[in-house]
Amino acid sequence: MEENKSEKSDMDATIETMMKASTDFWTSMLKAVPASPPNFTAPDGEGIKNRYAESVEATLKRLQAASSALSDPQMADAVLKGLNTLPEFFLKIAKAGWEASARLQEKAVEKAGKIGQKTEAYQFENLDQGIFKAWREIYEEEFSQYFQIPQLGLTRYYQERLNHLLDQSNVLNATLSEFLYLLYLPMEKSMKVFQDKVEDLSKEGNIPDKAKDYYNLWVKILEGHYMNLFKSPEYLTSFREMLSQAEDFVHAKNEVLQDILQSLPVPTNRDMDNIYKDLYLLKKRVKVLEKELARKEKK
Amino acid sequence: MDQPKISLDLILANIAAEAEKAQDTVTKASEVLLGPLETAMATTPYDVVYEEDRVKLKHYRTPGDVTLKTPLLVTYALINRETMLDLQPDRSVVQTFLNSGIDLYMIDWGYPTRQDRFVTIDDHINGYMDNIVDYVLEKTGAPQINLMGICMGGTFCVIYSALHPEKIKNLITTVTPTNFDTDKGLLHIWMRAIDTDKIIDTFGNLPGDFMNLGFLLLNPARLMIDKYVGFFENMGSKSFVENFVRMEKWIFDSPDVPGETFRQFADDFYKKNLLIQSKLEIGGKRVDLKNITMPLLNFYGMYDHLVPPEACNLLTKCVGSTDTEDITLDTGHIGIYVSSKCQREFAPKIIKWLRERDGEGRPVPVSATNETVGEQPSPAPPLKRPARPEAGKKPARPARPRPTRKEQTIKPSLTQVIQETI
Repeated sequence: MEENKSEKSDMDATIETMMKASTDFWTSMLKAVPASPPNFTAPDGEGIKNRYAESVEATLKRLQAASSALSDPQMADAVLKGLNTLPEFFLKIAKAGWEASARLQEKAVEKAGKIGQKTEAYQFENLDQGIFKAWREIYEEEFSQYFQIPQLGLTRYYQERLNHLLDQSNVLNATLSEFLYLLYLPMEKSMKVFQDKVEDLSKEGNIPDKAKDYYNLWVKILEGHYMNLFKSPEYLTSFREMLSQAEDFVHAKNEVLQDILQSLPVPTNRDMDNIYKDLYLLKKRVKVLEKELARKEKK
Repeated sequence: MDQPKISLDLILANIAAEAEKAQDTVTKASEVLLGPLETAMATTPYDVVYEEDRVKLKHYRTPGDVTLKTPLLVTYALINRETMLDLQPDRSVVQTFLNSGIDLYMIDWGYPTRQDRFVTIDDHINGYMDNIVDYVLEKTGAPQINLMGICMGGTFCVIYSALHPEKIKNLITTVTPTNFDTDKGLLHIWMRAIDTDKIIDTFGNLPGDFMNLGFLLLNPARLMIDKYVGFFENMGSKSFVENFVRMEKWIFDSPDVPGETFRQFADDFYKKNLLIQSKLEIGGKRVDLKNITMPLLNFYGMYDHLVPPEACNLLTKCVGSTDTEDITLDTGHIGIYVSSKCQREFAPKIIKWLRERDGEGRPVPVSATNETVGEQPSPAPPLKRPARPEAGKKPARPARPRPTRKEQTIKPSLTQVIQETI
């Protein structure tokens, strides 16, 4: 407690010194501003001060006033309290970033430990997708909330939609990475199986002598791996998630585009869809009536 | 460590030979790729005789006389384009049909835009298709038409035939999914997993590129790697490059699927499997497969990974017709129409089957040479169409030759089986 108090008074003293130095600086700057030349007359001939010099002088005076106000310990304390909240906010973001990074590293180390372990060929159940899941969880717990902070003011809805788009884009990246990793797995596994097969063939003395034979062998193994992957529940889940996330992203993107297009003389998809629906229903009614009429005419 | 039992000299010699071969291929490839290439598709002449919104009706010009009384209307899927049936002159189902004297019409669904996102299956079947059928009947004066469907187009034809049986003389379905309750094809598994509403609400229509990516992912090893390795190996052959480019053009010429149509197709067909149970409703009417009383010829591919045999082979057992035939070809989804082998089996079989059911109680004689593998069926003498029956009256169906329910698995040769059956 005592320690805290002494720390605070140290900080107050530092701020006070800083503010005094600032006031002195602006005062000297004000003095240093050259006066208008004595024979200077404005173009309108009324002999008023140079507008530029006047503006600089006013700014310096404002800064000087602000500095002297802040040099008052009570005022400085109030400002300091306000300023203290900002670093806390940024600190929280930074902290979340560090924590996420540490957890990711932890997962990466865990994964690295598994490198030596054997992966079964043609098997895609219980895959180690921990790194992707970890990133998504971390993102959703630690970062996503910043995009969901309620927006204020006139542009709140626009800002909200833009934030939603950024959020969806990040989630899509994570989902897409997982999906692409799954698509890459058969490549990795097929290469391993291929090497084993070639080794076996070489032991038997049946090693193919044409490059095409090696290629055919590998493609067949690869095809088998893909077929197994595509039938696995893991792939189906990832595929479904990726598709759903892509749709959410496109939807969010369309909402933002809608906002942009609204200000341009261009009809939006929503406008056109409304017209298309009306047109579709009208055409349908006209066709029915035409047929009816033709039938009656025939009779 | 065991030493490989092959000499290093041999490996090096092979590498040298391969390098020499590769150099030769590259030299030839540069000549082929930089020279003129004939890669046009769908070159058979036709007239657009009917248009409605984005949909067009193509009427092909017959080189000789029309020898089949009943015109044939081909309905392609909404996925990819009907140009596949006329990919190149020597591999054209269209030309085979025309050479045998069929009066051929084909629906071109066009390229749906966002404007078409509300167009439903009902609009396609009871709207566009029905108007086209009426137009063909009106134009030709025929009492009924023959209807042939491909893939999803086949599903449309099945529905149409069940809803308007009086207008259809014979029905041919090719690689047509009707039973969606199977896990044999990855497409069936994936389609059940997706949130259809979310896709359509997001994109409006189902984007063609999106579908193509999905199709490529069905077998990335073959479709994204091996296919192009094959291309690089054969780049020196002009005809190979031309055929390859034609196929590439066709594969990636993928129109969007109208949103509401896709929503219903995924939900009612893939997820609920209503069609084969005769529980599907289109335009407020139940689609009862027992209404399909006309002859039915059902083709499917044994190695089709998009529409597996299990998705096709229940149809003939569920319809009301007694004259049905299943034919399994030892090929995949597209091979039926474009492989050289199937070119010799697929279209000639359809022509023969139609001829047998075209006359009024008499099958049009087909010479034995028509059935020889590799030869096109020769056209029969020109025939006059009978007068169209009064509107609203169901025309009397001519007596059919040999009403039978057949199942065939053609491997390796379809022709042999057909000849044995005859």
